[in-house]
Amino acid sequence: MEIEFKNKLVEKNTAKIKKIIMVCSGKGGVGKSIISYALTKAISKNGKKVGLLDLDIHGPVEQLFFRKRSLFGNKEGLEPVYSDSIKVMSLGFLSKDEPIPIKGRYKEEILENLLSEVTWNSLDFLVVDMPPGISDELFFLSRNFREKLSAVVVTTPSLLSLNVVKRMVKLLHQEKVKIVGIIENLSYFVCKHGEVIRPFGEGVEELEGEKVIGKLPIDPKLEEIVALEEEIDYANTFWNSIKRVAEIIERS
Amino acid sequence: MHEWSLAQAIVESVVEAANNKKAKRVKTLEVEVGSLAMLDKDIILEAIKTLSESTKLEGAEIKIYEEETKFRCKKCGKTWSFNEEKEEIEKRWEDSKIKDEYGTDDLPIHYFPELIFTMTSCPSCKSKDFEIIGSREITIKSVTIEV
Repeated sequence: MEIEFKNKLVEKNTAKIKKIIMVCSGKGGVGKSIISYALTKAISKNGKKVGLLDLDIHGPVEQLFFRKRSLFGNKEGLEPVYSDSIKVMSLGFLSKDEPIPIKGRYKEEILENLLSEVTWNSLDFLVVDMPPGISDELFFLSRNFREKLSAVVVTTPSLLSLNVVKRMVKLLHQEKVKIVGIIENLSYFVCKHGEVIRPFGEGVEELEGEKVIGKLPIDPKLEEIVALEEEIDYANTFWNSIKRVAEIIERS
Repeated sequence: MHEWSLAQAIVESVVEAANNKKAKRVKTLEVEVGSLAMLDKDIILEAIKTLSESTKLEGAEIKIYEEETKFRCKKCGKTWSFNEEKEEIEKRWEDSKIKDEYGTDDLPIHYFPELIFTMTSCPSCKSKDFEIIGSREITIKSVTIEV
């Protein structure tokens, strides 16, 4: 008799998570990681218990927002990093700056371990920073968390991005994953004369029937949040927009 | 040091499977532990025995054995074992060890054996394009029941 048991641990360690929000795109470089981090901060500031899981296994970056923090083991598994009322897990905490070349079947196993080993305890929201592309991560989440999973899909106004993201939205429809809405990042910036510039095009108001719930500005201060370890609200134009998106997610 | 939670999941799964098969009791349970995950098989055995009290697994013959994890480079064909380079890896990754409430320090592969691809390379050609041969973590190898 062959028996699989890891799914028991996944169930146990995620049982008290009320909602899982995956921040996905299909296209790389559209800002999923900074948006995931900012949404987590905004939801936390609204008094909710929130966790952030970096599922970009090959290129984790969420640890960069929580420097000098370490993971600890306990009898049940691994405690996520706890900082500013946010629980965080990223393979970036465990891999120094070395490459993480995990291939084929090992990928599915590390995903299972990421969900079975981390003891999240009770959370109102777990925000998941997804990798670019359509791969195991998305199917793993939709298979295991059908009831509590929903998605926000990130694009830029660029036609190249929209084309790829449209495919992602179609897949989410096929897999019956609830979509909270589309976030259009790098949408515009306001120059010092007050003129609104849209360098990547006019963008869209909806995609495959899904509404755009936020158009985020280009905010050069965002880079300083990582480089100078500033708080997220330092990038105030971006932060004000993300707070509105967070409220929509919380109501969803 | 998460052996107890692994043991608990094993006990729950075996008892559930035994119930599904309408077994009177579980006669034997065999669990294989790959050396890569650096799990303590004595703790696992003790935990399974303790947690199976008053269940259909109580009194079963339980065998836990360790299998040495090996690797094979897909580029140059070299094969080597984890145990050969374990000390060297421990030294190189000392600063990434995870402390726990019992004062134990564990390498990240204790929780995520797949991170071995980050922590080592082929000793011959230095490639990361290698595969793991055999057991790497913990697997239920066999269960026999009395119906």
